Amino acid sequence: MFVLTEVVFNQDFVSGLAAFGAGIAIMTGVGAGIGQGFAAGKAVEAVGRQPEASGKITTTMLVGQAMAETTGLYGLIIAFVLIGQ
Amino acid sequence: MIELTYDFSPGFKASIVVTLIIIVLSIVVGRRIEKKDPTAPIKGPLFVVVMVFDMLNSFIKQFYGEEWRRFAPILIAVLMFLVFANTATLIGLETPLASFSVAITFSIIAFLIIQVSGLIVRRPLQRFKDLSSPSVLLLPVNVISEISTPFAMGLRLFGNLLSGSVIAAIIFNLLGSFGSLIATAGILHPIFNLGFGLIQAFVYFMLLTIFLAMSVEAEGVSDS
Repeated sequence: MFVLTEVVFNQDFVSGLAAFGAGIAIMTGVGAGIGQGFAAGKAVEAVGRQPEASGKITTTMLVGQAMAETTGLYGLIIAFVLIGQ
Repeated sequence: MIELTYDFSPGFKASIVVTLIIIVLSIVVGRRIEKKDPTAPIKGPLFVVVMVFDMLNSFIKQFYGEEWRRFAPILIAVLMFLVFANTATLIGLETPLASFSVAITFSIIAFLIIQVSGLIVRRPLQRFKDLSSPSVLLLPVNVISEISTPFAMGLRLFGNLLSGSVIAAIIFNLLGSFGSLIATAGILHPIFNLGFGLIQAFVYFMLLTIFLAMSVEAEGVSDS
């Protein structure tokens, strides 16, 4: 009789699954992309409605997009961490 | 002779170089402006510097009103470092913010700026009341949000600059040395450093300004 105390995985198996996880983590980019596109679309609408304020609208849009990018970047950082496994 | 090739990460070394550049530039420009006659018109590069700082000051005034002089130096110093650091690859340095320790240092600096000035301006008791503003039950949530926002700001910078340098490195590996010279120097570095880097520097500056204004003069801790 033997008692299973510890399961040791093959290193290739571990890095393969880590690569899968990194691929899944990168999918956060979908949300960030949708958010940025939404911001850009609304900014175009705003410029169409009020062309004289286009400078201010562009600045606000860029700042908002940089904020929306954050979630995608978190996914990217997690993917980098996983790739190192 | 000091050993300059000590075992620091390239991002850390680049941040030291950027700091030295900023110190030298500030001293030179400051002395030249000091010598100027205040009534005479300013011309050339000095005019650009004065105009940019005037713009930044008026931006800060919107948030702090009368007390803007107290907070303007540290905010503009952070912005100056970020602008120079994010464009440092154009002169051949590593991007400092692509190193995790520099990014985390920025988080800690933002946290300390916000909390210390909140404690000094609002006094500890009033600051405690601000943090437990709707009710005392929400105090832990507010404390967590106070800690997590600077951390998120640092991570945002780190992720942006890291993604830029990683993509540049991948293309550098794919293409030969000549093709990558054109691709990175002509296309990638202007996009990732001048475009995204400057936008991120401005976003960091704006967020720091807003959160600092919130902790200094807000009646209650607002959400976000």
